[in-house]
Amino acid sequence: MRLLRSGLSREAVKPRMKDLVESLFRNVPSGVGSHRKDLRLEAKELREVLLKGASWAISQGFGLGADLDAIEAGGRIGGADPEEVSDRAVERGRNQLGTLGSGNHFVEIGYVADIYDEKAARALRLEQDAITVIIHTGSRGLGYQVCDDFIAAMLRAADKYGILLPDRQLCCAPLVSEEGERYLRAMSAAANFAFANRQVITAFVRRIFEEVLGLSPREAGLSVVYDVCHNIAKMEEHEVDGRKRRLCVHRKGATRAFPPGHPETPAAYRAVGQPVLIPGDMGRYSYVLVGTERAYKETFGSTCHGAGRVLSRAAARKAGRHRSLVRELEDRGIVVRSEGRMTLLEEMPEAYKDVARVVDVCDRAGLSKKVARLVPAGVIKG
Amino acid sequence: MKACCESPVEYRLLEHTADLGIEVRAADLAELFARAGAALADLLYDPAPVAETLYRVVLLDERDREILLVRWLNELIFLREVEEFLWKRVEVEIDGAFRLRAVLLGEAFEATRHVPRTGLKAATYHMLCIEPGPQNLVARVLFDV
Repeated sequence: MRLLRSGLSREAVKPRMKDLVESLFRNVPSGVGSHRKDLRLEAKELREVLLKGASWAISQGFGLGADLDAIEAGGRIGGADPEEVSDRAVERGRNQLGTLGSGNHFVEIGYVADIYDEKAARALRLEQDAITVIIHTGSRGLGYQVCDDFIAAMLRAADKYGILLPDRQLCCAPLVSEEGERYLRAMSAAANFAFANRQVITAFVRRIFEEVLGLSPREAGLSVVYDVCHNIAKMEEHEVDGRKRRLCVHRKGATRAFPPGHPETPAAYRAVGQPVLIPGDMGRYSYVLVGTERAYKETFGSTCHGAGRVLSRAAARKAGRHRSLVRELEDRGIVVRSEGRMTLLEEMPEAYKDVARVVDVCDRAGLSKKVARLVPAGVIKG
Repeated sequence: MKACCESPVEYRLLEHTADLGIEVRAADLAELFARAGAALADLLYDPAPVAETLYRVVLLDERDREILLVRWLNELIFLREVEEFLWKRVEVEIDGAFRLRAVLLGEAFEATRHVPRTGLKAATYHMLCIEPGPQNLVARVLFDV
């Protein structure tokens, strides 16, 4: 999940929103098995991506060196080993760099509608009514294949280590075991692919804004606020019973929310805390928060990562059968383009909880602090 | 045992908050796998305009039938995603030791003629089951969306 800020106002961009969305839709492939015809890597090159993450993309001209300062772990998780990623996973990833995919993935142009914390918003350089872009995608087919390959290995490992499974999808191995260590190395490689993917998409978003609006890169002013993983296990140091310990923190349905002053919080944000990005649904709003000391102490530096669904995908399909979501959203001032009608129905706003209520709970519990609310104006979906 | 079927087949969509699932019924294991493959096609794209001009062969060997079902459906998702192959007719042969040989008849995806539906990442083991029904076998499988 990545958030970009811009130097553009909502009013300035509004008349060209349809063109921007159309161009994003044409230039950032989305939908089932989406792939790029203009960026197909050799297997050897792809293994470089798995090792270097976002910095590989920047070395190829997709973005600026400064982008890395605003990415979790600098856009490269250490300990990644491309050799642990199967040839089949590499094959799936070769032409998927710079693609969105389907499901709940999206690129959303929005604007800063409300600011709750002036000081933090200043540090994050988020201004009232300024245009923002959210990029929500991950490691694509490569990541699913790594998962699939290791589920097969973990089913065998669970037998080997005598672990009784209530559900086979929960197959596992001890962290300190050959299987556990190999998985962490492969998962980190997949995370690096995800960082590179969002970096390549960022470069396309910048180019599209510049081309459609006829602006220089400086005038468009698109820069990275932050890029944070949504599903990952990482080795981190935390205090447990008064003692510093090195732990594996697995955030699934959760996101990192490190406090002010933490060495892994980027220098520009160190006084206010690590930015936390929480997407809502495409019809309402998303939130920017910052991490807190309390989250660090109580939840190993973690907070929620999204609204969560309230309608099943099957129920959403049924509920939206006779509706034109594109027109409904357009009436609310939101331009939407989607590869598949089914995905659009499954992702309809009513399918999700109201993220405002979810975010308020996190804010009141002190697990992260509200900074700004972003409202969508243009969305591309898979 | 051997079976074949053509998409679309009858199947039930399962309610699950975050993901999508299917329930298929058949007289034996080979037919169950063939019908699951055809149901998956119907989830991924509209099978109606798919011509049967190309074929793919899938060979799998697993230690039990549940693992075999997940592997089978994931092979199909891989074919759709990486080779852009759309299948319409599914022929499946399974021997007693959970060895599967399948032939898929279909064609390559063409944006002008084919209609994609849902994007699925993978078949999962979550709540996976193959069990006897009143007169047949029933399989339920959830897909990560």
